[in-house]
Amino acid sequence: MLNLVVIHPKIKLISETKGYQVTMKIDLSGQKALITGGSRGLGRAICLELAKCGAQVAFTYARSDAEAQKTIDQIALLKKLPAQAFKVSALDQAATVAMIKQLIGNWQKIDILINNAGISEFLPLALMEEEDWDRTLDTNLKGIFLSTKAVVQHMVKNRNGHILNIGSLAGARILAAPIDYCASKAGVIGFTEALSKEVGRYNIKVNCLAPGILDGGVAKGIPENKMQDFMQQISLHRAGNFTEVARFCAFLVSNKNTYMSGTTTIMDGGL
Amino acid sequence: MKAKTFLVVAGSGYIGQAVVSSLIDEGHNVIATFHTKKPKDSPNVQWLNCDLTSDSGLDNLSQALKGLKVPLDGLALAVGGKIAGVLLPNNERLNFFRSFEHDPEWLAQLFQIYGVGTYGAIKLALPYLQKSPNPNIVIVGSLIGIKAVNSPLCFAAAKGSTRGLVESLSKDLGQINIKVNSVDPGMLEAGASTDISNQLKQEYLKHCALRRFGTAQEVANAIHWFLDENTYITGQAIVLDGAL
Repeated sequence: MLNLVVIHPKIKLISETKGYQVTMKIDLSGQKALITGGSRGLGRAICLELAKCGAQVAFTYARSDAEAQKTIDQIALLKKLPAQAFKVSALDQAATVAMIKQLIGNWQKIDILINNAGISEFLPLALMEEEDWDRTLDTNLKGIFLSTKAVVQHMVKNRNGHILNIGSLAGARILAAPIDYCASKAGVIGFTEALSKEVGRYNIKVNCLAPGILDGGVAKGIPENKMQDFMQQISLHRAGNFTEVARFCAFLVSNKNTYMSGTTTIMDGGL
Repeated sequence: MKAKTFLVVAGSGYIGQAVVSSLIDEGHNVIATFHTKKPKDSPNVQWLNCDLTSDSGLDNLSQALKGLKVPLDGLALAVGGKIAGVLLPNNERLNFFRSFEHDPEWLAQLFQIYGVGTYGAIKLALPYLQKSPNPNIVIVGSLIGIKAVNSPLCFAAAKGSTRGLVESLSKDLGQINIKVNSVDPGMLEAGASTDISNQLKQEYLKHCALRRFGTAQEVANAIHWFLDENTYITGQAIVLDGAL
């Protein structure tokens, strides 16, 4: 790394973003969006950001009714279109198909699908059982297959759509992270690339966003000393936050982003 | 909304003009450079004659930046160039560019533009960028610098050098919160793509999943987002090629 002080002696260290302003006009009015795993964390932030931009939002959740209600309440506070929540497991094909049928009945179309639902467990290979592996791969990868399969036929009919898969830096770079999680997220990138080829002719854009370490994200299980190492190595010397990732998601699924497809964008502050 | 100030190097080109328009349409102020032909004056744009490969050009840029009374919020480098192909007598270009038929001078010239010129502009802009709360640098690269496709060797090599520049700079400038990324378009409806053979264009369309060329506006939208809003992506190549 070059020593900046030599070039510009007055440069000061700034370890976090200050004065961040949302300025670009992203208009999702009239857009119908389904987000999987929208009851908390990044999923909730994505629901809120898409609603702020004018989209009508529905989301799935697997466990907490109270958390799902919080997402609905926060969207209601925005005085935008009300959100709908569906208690549907990412692995329940029948319930997923029924939910899509209901949404199409109400909305006539789904313009945006954001596959966000995922899990992570911190187990080394020696302690990982077959069922641990299956649970992670099923939720993080098979779940995307099931929701996409149920939605994509309607996008094909409309000759338009955005599918955004939430991957992870752990699926794109060499990281000391659980092998089941890394394998599942690497699978998401392969899924994204292959699907973009298959449905591109119908004007369906398929992309993957791979966040790095986020405040409150799956990385919260990382030990403190390891986290300090990461903060040293990240170019911006800080973890990301849900709001900035969600804002980028809104751009990626908007009509401002119409020629990007099959790509994975790593959003990691420069790890 | 508070207006921001951006510098667009080569703002008179196919992509550059779309970036300038996109920024001023949202109420921002732009300093834009041109090399040979000055575009029409428009409100909120200060045009500057600047050839980045010459000392006088860099001096002009330096003087304009010294006059800034506000922070520079972003720098876009949209430098383009004509693609050297092999012309047949009927004016059709060959499908395959012959890598070693180019004048070596052409290779040196492109590295001068994309490498040395880009480096010079960034170095001049740095002190003004670091005054911004959310500074960003976006370099317009090309698909041919990222993926293996039939293309003129000198152009691919020069554009590919952007990748190293972005990665190294992102690590260096991250500590002062400056994010550095490239936006790498595939084949577009106009601009440098105009000089590509019809045969190669048809090949591109066959393999591009969206089955069409991109537009300057689509590239400008991405550049605009990265200049204006990006807070946590750095060191990345953002490929816009319709899934080639």
